[in-house]
Formats: sequence, structure tokens, C-alpha cells
Amino acid sequence: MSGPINERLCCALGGALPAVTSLHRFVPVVHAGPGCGLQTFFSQAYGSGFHGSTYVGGVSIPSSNTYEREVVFGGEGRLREELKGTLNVMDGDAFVVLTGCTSALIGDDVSAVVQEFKGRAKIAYAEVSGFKGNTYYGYDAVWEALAGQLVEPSRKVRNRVNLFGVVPTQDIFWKGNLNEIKRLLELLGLEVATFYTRRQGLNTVLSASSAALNIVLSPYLARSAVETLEKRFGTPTLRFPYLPIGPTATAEFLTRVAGALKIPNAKLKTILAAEHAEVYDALTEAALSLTAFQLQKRVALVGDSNTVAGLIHFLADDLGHFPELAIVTDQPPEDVTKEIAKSITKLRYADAPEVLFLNDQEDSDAALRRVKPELVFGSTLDKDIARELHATHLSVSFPITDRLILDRAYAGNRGSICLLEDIMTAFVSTL
Amino acid sequence: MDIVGKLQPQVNARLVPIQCEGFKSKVWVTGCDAAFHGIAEYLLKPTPKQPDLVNVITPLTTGKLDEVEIARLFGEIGLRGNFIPSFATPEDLAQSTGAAATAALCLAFGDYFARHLTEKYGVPQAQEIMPLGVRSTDQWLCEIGKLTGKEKAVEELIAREHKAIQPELAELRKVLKGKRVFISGGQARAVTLAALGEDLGFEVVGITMFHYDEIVESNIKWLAKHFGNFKVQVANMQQFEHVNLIKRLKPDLYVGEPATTATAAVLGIPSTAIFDLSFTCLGYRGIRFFGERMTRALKNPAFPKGLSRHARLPYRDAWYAQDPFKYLKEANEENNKEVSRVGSNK
Repeated sequence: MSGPINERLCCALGGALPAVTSLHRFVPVVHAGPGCGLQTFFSQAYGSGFHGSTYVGGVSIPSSNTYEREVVFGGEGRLREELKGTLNVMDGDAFVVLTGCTSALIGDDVSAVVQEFKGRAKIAYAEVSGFKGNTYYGYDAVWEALAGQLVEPSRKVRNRVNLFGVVPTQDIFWKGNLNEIKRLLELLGLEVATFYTRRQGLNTVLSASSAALNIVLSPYLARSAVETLEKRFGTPTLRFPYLPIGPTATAEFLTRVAGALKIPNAKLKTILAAEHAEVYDALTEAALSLTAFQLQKRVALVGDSNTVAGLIHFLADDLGHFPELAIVTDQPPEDVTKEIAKSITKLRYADAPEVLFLNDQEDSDAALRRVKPELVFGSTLDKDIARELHATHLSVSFPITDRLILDRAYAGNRGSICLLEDIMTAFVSTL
Repeated sequence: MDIVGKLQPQVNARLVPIQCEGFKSKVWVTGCDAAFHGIAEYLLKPTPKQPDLVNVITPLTTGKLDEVEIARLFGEIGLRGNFIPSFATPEDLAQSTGAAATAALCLAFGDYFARHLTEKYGVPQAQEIMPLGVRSTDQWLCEIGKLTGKEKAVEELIAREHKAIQPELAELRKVLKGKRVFISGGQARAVTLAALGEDLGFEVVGITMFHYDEIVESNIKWLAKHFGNFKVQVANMQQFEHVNLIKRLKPDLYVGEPATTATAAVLGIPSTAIFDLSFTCLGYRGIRFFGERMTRALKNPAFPKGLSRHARLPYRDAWYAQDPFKYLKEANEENNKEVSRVGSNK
């Protein structure tokens, strides 16, 4: 996971911070230079549709603020002092030290300092120096740390699953999406640890070992976390290669989960029938406008692999659009780019779109100019080029600064109806 | 530096190295100074004198509409503003050396560059810190008037502006009179906003400044004379101290950085942000803007009241019983003038 940090991706610390602050009553302690915590937190918060924090966040994030003295003489003393102060002042259930660039360059023994506080609080640490990787690296490092250092052994619960791969703030609709996936899995009779919704918090993290299955909604995220959980607690992993959006992808997702957990086929069928009744009732109501305006457009998508692959299946295989260009911007590791391209191009009704893995706005603009789509799904950064091409634009990927997103979901069945409303709204509001 | 020197012949654009390592300073304006140092060293040279041109240094916390308002005021007294560096071209930066004077929309931000223009190119510098509200804009314009020989025109302009704004101020005072306000921001912004109390009728119970230096000394003295006793915190985003202090003071209204207004709301305190780049926040129109926003926040506190009943801030109850400045400590000998702090910070 390498490549330049750009407007669509923050550094590792930027991914790690929301991965910690979005856990109920978890307190991050940044061990880095002054401003690192605040700036990366706010770049994620403002870029994710203005999604603020419920507890610790922004200006309340503790930081060791390492200065020149620490750079010269080492920062362990300063971190120790900061942790003492933090435990006295901050009211948290767990504390996660996140190390920045300077700490790694100095070579502080953060593990040893954190060890000193084990008796006083639930505490872990993750090395998320900005130069190590991007937002996704930060998310992965936090979950590797929690899986290895915080999760405790517990008895397996047959119908319990952990959900990974939806990255807080970088997936703009993370909260709503997790809620919808949880709702769907609960229909199968499962208990779902999303970790990030409904104030699940510390107990859910500690007992992540009890799950019968780790479900990862990504071909590559949370690799080290699920490997650690598998090694420590023998939990198997099911990967679904993208965010399931719409009835077709959702049915496939639920079928695969049911298969992995040996849920009886009859039960699955009943559940899918009820879900399809709900979602197709909504689509039938939508038929009035969809057929009247013949919403079958030439589509381009720009965003992370999960969002792009998820959207494309709903657009092509449920609604009947023509995806022509998919620009993937999350810099996935090379060993999964083929798999991602396959997820994006394997469509039932539409021809395969061109797939590009790009980092530069200039390159993505050029590709869009060449393809001239009628409908652009991207970030707010892609609004200008869409306007230039007289295309309808909807902000769906990071960064989004033209919508407030809190609980809105695009995933699953209910999310797909929400997405359809937003597409139609974007289209008719320009008429 | 060498890297820039080697690369420069290969590109048409001017390359300017700026050294601003985060661990070098506790004070954010150090970075602004570093940027201006780069501009001054690499992009400036002597240019012909332009007696009606005044450099106006624009920080990131002011928007295009603020420039429009200052340009309007300048137009009335026969001056032109050279707004730099926000939205500026290299030509705008270059012609700054021939201007009649330099003023800053925020002196904390612009002081380093203004001094450079004085020392190297003989362009005199105005010392007033920010043109916002009646008193501060008057003083800011008067000083520019003196430096450009426009005293008379400035005097007449001020009289016209005062007359135009008085009825609105009277309306705003009806709501704001006697209200206890806490203000937080960069040093220039914070003391200038506090001074609005003179015209809007509110009291200042506390001020947080991100740092302190001599450029705001006379302003602080004036505030002390006008408002009597109030608390001062000098800290860059030390939220745990800040919240403790605010809980003690229980202001009616909080005015602060966009990042801290949400915190005030969780405490149940109506709040408004110290700038909004989509509006005119400076000049005589600026006081209308803040007066209106403060009034709205006070008139309907539904949002913060609801939050305070259901949300909580991440501090231990025991912390609120302790001295907010408990974690301040004297620094070691080599920099014994500096006060550093431990505990939760940014």
C-alpha cells in the first residue's frame, strides 16, 4: 500500500485516528509533533461530509507534541508524562497510542512505555507514522494492534460475527452502511460486532475472539487483523470483495455468509423473499420516474475500490445503466488489483467498463474528458470536471464537502433505495 | 536549498524553499513567518513607488468578501489595496515593495512580512492589529491615513460609516447588552472580537489566545480598562484547560474557532464561530455580521440545550474540580522564559 498521499487519501495517522475515535469511549493518544493529530483528524472529518466525533476528536485528542528537544534527546519521557496526564484527565474505557513520523524517526520504544501503563488502563499502541502508508494503512494498523494487544480469549459463540473493511470517515457512509449490513446479518439470526455502531465499544472489542466468523467487506483490508484473530483464536475469515449495494449484490452477500455459517437454505430463502418484497416495492414505485426519464446513462465512477465496485453492480445489474469508466483511487496492493478489476468488470447485463488505477486528479480528469460520461459518481473534487462535461454529478467517495453525511447508507437493500433517491434528485434538480 | 538551486534552471516557475518543520515551534504563526520569509527572499525586488497603493496582508482566516469590504473603504479615500498573499499573483507580491504603506488584516500573521518591507524597502508599516468593528476599524484606517497623507478623507469616511451603522448597533445591543461572553482565537482576532463589546454591549468574562506577544499588549490594556476583570488563557488548543475554565465561568455565549464551537454546544452554551469565509467578517460590516450571529445564537439555544442533556465531553468529573492550569509548569533553564505544559493537548 504505497503511493503518494493526495486529496483523496490522508496519511496513516489520518486513517488511524477515526478508526480509534469512532469506537465508543476510546481515547487516542497521539505521539507526534504539534498539530499532527488535529490536522489529520479534521482533514478526515471535514472530508467525510462533515462527520464530527461523538466523544474524543479534533481539539480534545491528547498529544505528546514532541518538539526539537524530544527529536534530539528522545520522546519516551514526554510520552510517559503525557500518558500520566491523560489517564488523570480523560474519561475513557480504553486508550490507544498512535505514533507519528517523529517518533518513528527518533526510534522511541513506545511498546515499553505503553507496557508500564497496562496495570492502570486498557491500553494498546499502533505505529502509524505518516510515511508508512495512507488512510487504509492506518485503519489496518489500528485493527492489527487491537486484535493482537487488546482482544481477550473468550468462549466461541456460534452465531456471532465480526465485521471489518468499512473504514470510518474514509468510507463516507460508514456508519449507515455498517448499520444496514448489521440489520441484514441479524435477519440471518446473527449477532454482529460492527465495533463502530450503537455504542458497541470496549466490551465488543475485548470479546471479538468469541466470533464464529470474521467478515471482511474488502479484498484486502484488515488482513493482519484477521490473520491475528485466526492465529490467536482460530476464527475463520470470509471476504466479500466489495460493498454489497442493491438487491442482487445483497442476495449474493447473504448467500455467501449463510453458506459459510451453514445457515439452512430454507431460512435464507424466506429472508431474501421478504427483503426482495421490500426493495422491489420501492423500485416499482420508482419505475414511474425511472422509465419516464429513462434513467439509463453512460456512467463513470471515481473512488475507492469498495465504493466503485459496490456502486457499479447496483447501477449496471439492478438499474440498467452503462458503466464506461471506473477509476480506482485507494492505491490497493498490487496483488489484489486484478481481483478488484474483475469485481468491477464482471457484470451480468452491461459490458465491462474500462478500469484505471489512478492517483492524480489531472489523470482522472483527462480520462473523464475522453469518455464523456452523462453521470459521474465521485468525490466533490470531481464536480468541476462533471460540470465541464455537462454531466450529472453525485458525491459518493472521499472527500465530500457538498453534503452532510451522518447516518445515510448506500449499502444493502435499504441503502440502495437511498442511493437511488440521491441519483434521481441529482438528475431532476438540474432539469 | 541546494535542491531548489539545482532544479530551478529546469522549470519556468519560481521555486521557493520554505523551512517549517513542525517540531521547531509551539506557535503556529512561526509557519506563516517561514512562508513569508521564502516570499521575501525569493520573489521580491525594488519596484517603482505607487503612492496610492497600500499592501494589505491577508491571512487564511479572511475571505474574498473581506477584501471587497476593505477595497470599498479604500475606494472612498482614494487608495488601492494590494491584497497579498491570498488570491495574489506573483505581480501582486512583487509590487508590494513600491507601496506607500503596509497594513495587515491580522497583524499576528502579517507582522513579519510587513517588517521586512519596512526594513528592506522603506515601506512604512501600520501597527493596528485587525480592522473589525467600530473602534478597531477606525484606528486601522486612521493609521493608514497618517501613513498615506489621507487623514482628512479618513476622518470624513469614519463619520459617514458611524452614522450608517448606529441604528443597527442599537438593535443588536437590545439583545446583547450585559451578556457574558467568552472569546477564543488567535491573539489579534481574540482581542479585536472582545473589543466589539464596547459597541454591542456585552461583557467579556474570558479570552483564550493561541499565543501572546507584544503586538496585542495595548489592546489587552484597553480591554482590562473597559471590562474590568476577566480570565486570560494563553494556549494553542489546550482543550482540557479550556473546558474546565469555561465550565467555571458559565458564559452566556461562546465565540471561538470552528473546532471549539461544537465543544461549547455540548456544554449547553450557545456558540458562534470567529470567522466564516462565505461572509463579510471585517470592517464596519463585520460587526453587523458578528452581532447578528451572536444574537441568533442567544435567541434560540435549542440545539446546545438539547445536546447538553444527552452528550458529554471526554473528561473525568474529577478534572472539573481541579485548577484548570494545574498542568502548567515552568520550563527548564535553557528556555526559562517559556512556559510548557503537560497533560492532554494537541
